[in-house]
Amino acid sequence: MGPPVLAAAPDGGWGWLVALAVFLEAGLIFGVIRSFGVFFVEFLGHFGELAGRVSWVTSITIAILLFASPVGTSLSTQYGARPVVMAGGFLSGLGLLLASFATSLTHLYLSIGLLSGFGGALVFAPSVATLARYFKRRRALATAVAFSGPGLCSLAFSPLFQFLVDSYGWRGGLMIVAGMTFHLMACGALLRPLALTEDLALAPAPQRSWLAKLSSLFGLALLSSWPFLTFAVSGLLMNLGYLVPFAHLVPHAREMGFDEYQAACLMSMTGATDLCGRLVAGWLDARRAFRLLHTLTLWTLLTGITLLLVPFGHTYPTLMAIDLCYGFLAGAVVPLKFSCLVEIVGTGRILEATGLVHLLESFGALAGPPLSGFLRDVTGSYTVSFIASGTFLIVGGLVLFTVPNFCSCSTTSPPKQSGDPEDAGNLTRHNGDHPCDGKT
Amino acid sequence: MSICNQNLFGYANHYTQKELVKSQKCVIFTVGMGMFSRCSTTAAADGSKDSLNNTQPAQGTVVFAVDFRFSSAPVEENVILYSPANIALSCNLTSPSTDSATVNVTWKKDNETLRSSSVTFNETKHVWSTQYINQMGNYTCVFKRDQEVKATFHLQVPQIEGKEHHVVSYVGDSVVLVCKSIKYIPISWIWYMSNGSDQQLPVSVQWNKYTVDEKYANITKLKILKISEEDDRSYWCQAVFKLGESKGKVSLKVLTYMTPLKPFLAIAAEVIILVAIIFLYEMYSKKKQMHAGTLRQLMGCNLNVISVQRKSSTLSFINCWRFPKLS
Repeated sequence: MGPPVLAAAPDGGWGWLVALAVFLEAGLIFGVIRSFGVFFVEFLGHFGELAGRVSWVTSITIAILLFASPVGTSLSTQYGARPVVMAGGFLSGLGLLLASFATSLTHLYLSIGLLSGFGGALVFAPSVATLARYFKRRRALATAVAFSGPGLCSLAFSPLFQFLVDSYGWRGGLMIVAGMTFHLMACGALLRPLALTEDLALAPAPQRSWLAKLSSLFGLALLSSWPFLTFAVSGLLMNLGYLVPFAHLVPHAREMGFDEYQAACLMSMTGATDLCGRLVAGWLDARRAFRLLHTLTLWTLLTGITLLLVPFGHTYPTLMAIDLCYGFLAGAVVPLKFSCLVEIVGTGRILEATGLVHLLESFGALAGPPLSGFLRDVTGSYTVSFIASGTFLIVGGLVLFTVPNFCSCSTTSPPKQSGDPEDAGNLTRHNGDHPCDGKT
Repeated sequence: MSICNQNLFGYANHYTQKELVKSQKCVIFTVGMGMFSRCSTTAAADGSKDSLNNTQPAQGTVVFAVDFRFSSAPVEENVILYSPANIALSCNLTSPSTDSATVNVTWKKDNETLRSSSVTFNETKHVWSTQYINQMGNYTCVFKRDQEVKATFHLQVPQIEGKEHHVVSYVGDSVVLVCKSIKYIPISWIWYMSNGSDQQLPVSVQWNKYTVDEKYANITKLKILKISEEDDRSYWCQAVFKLGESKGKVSLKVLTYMTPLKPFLAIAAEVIILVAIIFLYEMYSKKKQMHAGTLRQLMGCNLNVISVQRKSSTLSFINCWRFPKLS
């Protein structure tokens, strides 16, 4: 006898433990990536390589995380979320463990970048989908709780990583962080499979060619939609600049003369304000006082301006203030982007749209930090790097102006795909109704 | 508290820097080909004032002057000399009262008396004394009447900061020890290592053990390969300047892989225990549900068991016509 079938999402009970699991997962994946600046400095010293080359470590990790998330989604629909997430957690921890024995930068690219990145992709997408299945009415609250993970965790991780590096060196530090990352398996164990009545109503999937499957998985048909395309291009440009502070703020602070713990503190404060930013974005979304797209454009432009100001923070209080602003704005931009995407493509195709946007953004993530590191190597300081990344963000915000300025009700409803419960893709705060209903 | 009054002669091109020592405020300035920095423990020296009044000393001499009264606390001044120059140290005493008493002035170098004389207050109630010097050291001027006031100038070469926290590395790994002297460029660097018995041996550059990288003149990097437990000691980087040398200390701590492995294994064990607990709890709660299901069966539900093969999992659906749906 299998798990009991429920008529509706439980909206509580075990669901809160699932929310806790996703909270910890987000913290362990993204919180670690954000706090990796501490190890970045150590790699620079130990391998004697240029900043541009060391930046590939972070950028490959994030790029693979975003790029491979459709793989995670498809594997989880095949085998269930729990085994996939536990396997992903194991791979992530394994990658960091192998990295602690690295003898060259290439080892780091492969172990942290490829292995941990792929593990993270296997963990994150299925977990978010499972969370969406457990909650219907309270989905917004649950996702907000879950996505506050990276902020809170990076608050603690940054100084913790510095302490680990001081006590055990970067090798020992990576080993212990690998142990922490293995907790992803425990989080995965919490993701009990949930069977909803709508699953039974679906006929088994007809056999399709793998090309058709791939294209539907990535939602390539969406590329023909102009609003979506401009949004995706804007996302790509934004990612070129958005990730640079996570990679380069700590080294920049160390070069300006601040000591190790001061620099680590900068990163952890970003995590704290990131949380506030997300809450404010959620509140704005609920209020619907302004159109989401306008809000997103404004905040993106503000984030870009904040990045431009980073090189001008010469004293610690100034740099900390700029850093807090950045954390707040950057934290708000992420949920706003997601809500805008839902507005543009509709809740039916959100799963594919997210996959495709992640795919395009992964190229931005791949190129951003190494480009910034290259600029640093060429000019001798991170000033030009931050100015360039701020510019990318501003350009990304300006591209958003070209999204057709109307609620795009013209998006055709997607063909009903079997094995693809629509509700699982409904990760919005609109509670299932199409945002264009009743609006002009 | 007295206020420092710097008398700079020559064309000073100065800027303030971060504090060299926590309680001091420093000014670095270049005069001709020389570069100096001056730090003071007393109230902030206003480096922007460039007072070219007061008496002219001999051409090409830099004068460091301190003003104080009999009631002042002892003044400490750190003067960092990078290159050879003519230096004059000047102490300027102001007396509040108009009595024309005699004051005894003594100049000391490192507590040895250089010269001693008696000076009388002039009409403007100032008495000052200048000492020309040509060596590093600590120079003190002492004014004595019934009380005693003094000022000490610490003349030294630029200090090198090592790393206060030790560098951690592992057996068989390689490590890079770095010493920097950003503002003052030394002529050369020499590395020493401690011998356990407080001795310092110079580090000889061998291709398979020690390499010194001197790409930039103001940063030196000592790379140690194939680290073993004996390399767990302190290393000194000595910067050679025109006027002397100064050392910075970097200590290396060598660990074996067992050291972080123990916490890692503890954490891994904890993860396994957590996963086991979660799965055991789930099996336990499933058993409870199964018992509840059999109970409903006994209570007369119309059993309608449909097994649906959905990909790899099997779902069973119990339909109770007369009872509310399962929650």
